[in-house]
Amino acid sequence: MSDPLIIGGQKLFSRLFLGTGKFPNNKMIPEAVTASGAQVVTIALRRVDPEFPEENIVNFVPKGCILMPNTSGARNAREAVRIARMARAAGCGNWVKIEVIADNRYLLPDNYETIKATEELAADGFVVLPYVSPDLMVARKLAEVGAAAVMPLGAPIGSNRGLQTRELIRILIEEISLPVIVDAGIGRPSQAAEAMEMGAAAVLVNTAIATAGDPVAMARAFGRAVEAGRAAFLAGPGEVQRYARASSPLTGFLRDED
Amino acid sequence: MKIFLNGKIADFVEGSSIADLVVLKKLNSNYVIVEYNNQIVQKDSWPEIQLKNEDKIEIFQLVGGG
Repeated sequence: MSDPLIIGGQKLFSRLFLGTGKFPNNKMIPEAVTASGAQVVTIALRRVDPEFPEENIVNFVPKGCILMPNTSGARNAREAVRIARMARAAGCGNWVKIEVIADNRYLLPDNYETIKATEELAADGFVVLPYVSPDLMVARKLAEVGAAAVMPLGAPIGSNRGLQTRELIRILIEEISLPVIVDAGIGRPSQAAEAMEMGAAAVLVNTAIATAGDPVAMARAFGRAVEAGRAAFLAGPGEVQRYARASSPLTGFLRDED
Repeated sequence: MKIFLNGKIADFVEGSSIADLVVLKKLNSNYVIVEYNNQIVQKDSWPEIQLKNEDKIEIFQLVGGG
């Protein structure tokens, strides 16, 4: 069954977005991308250290993937806009994940600055996917200023703690017409599947895959979990009941009625 | 001549261009993004921009990230 996710005019057939940070080595990245099936891959921008130049990460992203640079390192809207424009100048295309963080302990996003950056970049032709704390009013505002999706966190970045913000994400999915993509905190394929069963449009995973014992195998596991979760959502999960409801007939074997 | 390269003071020969700087620092010109006094400058114009005392150069590259 064809069930594409359409963002920024692009049809996506994989609902797993993959981050490229923290892999044990860059050579593993193309294998992980392929194993996961991801079509959207995030990257970051940093000042060059001329003493220790790094390899160009783009060389490790399979052709045909959509590159989504993030604005990590930005502490306000102005810096996020600057990073986004630089990434576009570097040939990354026009997708951008807005990430504005001024809190070092929990790396929670600054929703207010994120809205400002989203408005400016959407007006400048970017496909903007803002990373936010799940808040309905913020999500509505983001929709109003031209975001292509909203990306609420499940738990703090890199924490592998799963859908701690489950209830707030559920409300966003119910109330917002934009795709809701759960970003950050997903630590296990089961948690990714749960987000998809709830009706999330996609999930973005980095740490859980990159720091797994076998990142490529974990990428594959996440790909399957996301597909399973999406299929379950489309199938319509049965209702939760307080008491047992027999799956087999209880009458008609030895007695007609209890 | 002193310029500010990625926030640090650096010494360069008068009349050097951005292209010269990229070569001198052994950076791959296909991978880096340059801001000259807070403006992004495209690679085509690197040879034409002669650095002046106290110019601010920021050089960036794409890295892994989530």
